[in-house]
Amino acid sequence: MLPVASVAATDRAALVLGMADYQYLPKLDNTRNDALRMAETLEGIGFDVTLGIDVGAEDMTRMLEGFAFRAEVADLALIYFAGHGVEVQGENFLIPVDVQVQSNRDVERQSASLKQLLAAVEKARKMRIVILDSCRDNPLGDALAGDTSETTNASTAPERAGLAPANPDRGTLVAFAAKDGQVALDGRGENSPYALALMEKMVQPGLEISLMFRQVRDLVLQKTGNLQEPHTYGSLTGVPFYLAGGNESAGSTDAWAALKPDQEEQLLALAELGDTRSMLGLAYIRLNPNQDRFDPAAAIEFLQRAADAGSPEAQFELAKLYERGTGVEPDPAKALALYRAAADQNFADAINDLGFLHYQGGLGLPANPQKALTFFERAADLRHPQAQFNFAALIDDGLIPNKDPEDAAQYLYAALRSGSSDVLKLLSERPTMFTDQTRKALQAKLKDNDFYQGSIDGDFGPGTQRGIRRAYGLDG
Amino acid sequence: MQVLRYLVILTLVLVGPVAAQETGGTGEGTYGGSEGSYGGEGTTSPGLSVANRVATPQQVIMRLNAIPEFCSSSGAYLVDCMAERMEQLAEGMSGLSGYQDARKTIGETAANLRKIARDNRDPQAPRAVVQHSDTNTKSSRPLVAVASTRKRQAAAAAVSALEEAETILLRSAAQSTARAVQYQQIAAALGSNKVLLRSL
Repeated sequence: MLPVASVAATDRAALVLGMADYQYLPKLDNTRNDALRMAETLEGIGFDVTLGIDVGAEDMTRMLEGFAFRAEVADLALIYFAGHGVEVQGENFLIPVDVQVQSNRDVERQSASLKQLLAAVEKARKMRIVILDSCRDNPLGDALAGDTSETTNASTAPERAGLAPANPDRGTLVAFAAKDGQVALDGRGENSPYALALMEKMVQPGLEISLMFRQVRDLVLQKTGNLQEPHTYGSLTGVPFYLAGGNESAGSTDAWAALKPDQEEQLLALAELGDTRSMLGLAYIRLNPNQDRFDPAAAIEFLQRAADAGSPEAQFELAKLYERGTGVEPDPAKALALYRAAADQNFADAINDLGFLHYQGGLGLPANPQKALTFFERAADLRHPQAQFNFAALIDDGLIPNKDPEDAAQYLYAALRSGSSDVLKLLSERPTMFTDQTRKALQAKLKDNDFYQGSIDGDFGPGTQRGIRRAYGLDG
Repeated sequence: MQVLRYLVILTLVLVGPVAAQETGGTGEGTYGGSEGSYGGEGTTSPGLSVANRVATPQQVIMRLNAIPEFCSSSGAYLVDCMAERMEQLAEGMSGLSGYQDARKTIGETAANLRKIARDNRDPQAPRAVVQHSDTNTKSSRPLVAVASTRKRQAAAAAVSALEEAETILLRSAAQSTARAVQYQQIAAALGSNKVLLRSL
């Protein structure tokens, strides 16, 4: 067992940016207040907050980089941006206070794109959220000249009011203060209506996050007389999150059980409307054996509905139930078909498990390690922690052409950072499973990232063990 | 060391039919250091020491995994050392139901290795008890050394004995695919000293 005394670093990290005092663009009144209060609110509910007020382009880039590293070991990473935002050629840019823009290219060069913000949160272990309280008006107005550069498409309209729709990865939520193309209001008081609604709902104990954003939307619509409709893009994973309170078994699907009855009603209503995450939540509540509501048959119905609606996560969960025979007769053929359906949608859990099943043989598949390798690699490159470990193991065995101990160590390091406790345990207790070269390469990787200061000798003594725990996100 | 590679393969091939699920908490090198934990677990077969008893398939794997480490520094005694460890393991598995085929194969492999060591022994070298410096584990009987002039021949024969064991175990693994379907969160990888992880 690992020393329990080590406490994980805060599992929620937030970067809050507020831009008000623009040097060349119209100044904003409320963004500064919004950011300050948002930072306070987030800190109050247990976030480790980095706050940036009136930040220039260079600092903004640096803050995003620092936050990206911090986010790797957080369960939830959240960025809140209040300031000018603009859409250029279908891409959203968030503007720092010191940019002087004359053209589209200036915007692209000097601002942070939504893509950069998404990259900064993307390695968080369970949930990634970017909130843009932006596009308050069209800051560049008519002053922005069309781009005359020959290297870009100059004919594209430079910008329009509001921001463009986003298309984030699975497990990532982008929340906009207003629907795409719609302008968000700065508000008449000290804070924007969107910020006010967020801060009110975030602190409500036990309010599940997807329901929270929905309630924020309703509140903003109400407060603005239906002028502003907040909108979210992307999909959350089936793991529930309660920003305030409700921390019992946080970070696992068991935590759905903490859902209050009124919220379950809301989930049921959303499930009726076809929301697959709500169906998953309802299923998980019924799969928790410690609950009065334990009802595997009903859970399977919800999962089947979500799977039929195309949710890869539901397909994967259902596959597990059919493989194990939980609440249903075991059905290997059906389980395999469901794993494949989920894998076809690039659902990494399913891809890794197919790798495992091909490697060992199972669910009617003959053992075929060669075939398994491609699955492990595919899932590992989707940053799936178990697959990263598995692929590292096979590289270490010399089974992957063109991959060496350096690659094995890179995958092991990534698996540690992405928070697999199995990987932490195996590297702590059975490091000699890996060759000396891979162990040395991992030590070097730990050293490069300041987790380890000792010598590169392949010996996983106390120093290396501490480095491994620190890379995982424990205090050492 | 080629022979050890085969031993490792043999180790993991064994996992196929048993569909072992690692429960964690114990790791390599546990053998010899954790005898105490074997005590008090139900009844023991007559004549079988408590310390040597194997209670779970995981312990079979751990014990097999520990053999290379235990024997690797035994030099000329290597082949007989492996024979002795496998004899002990086969003996310890007598109370482990459902794995009699695996036990039989391990026992036969041990006997083959022992014969190879004897057939190629160095009459000048003393019979010796091997002891692991870290764990204080000792071989249960004095071992014979292989003559340096016969080393190549003995190694080839030992590899061949281990390969034969592998074939037998692979065949039995194929026959028990149905059992192998049993869901495992972590499982030793076929043909490797690694474990593979399923998605959580």
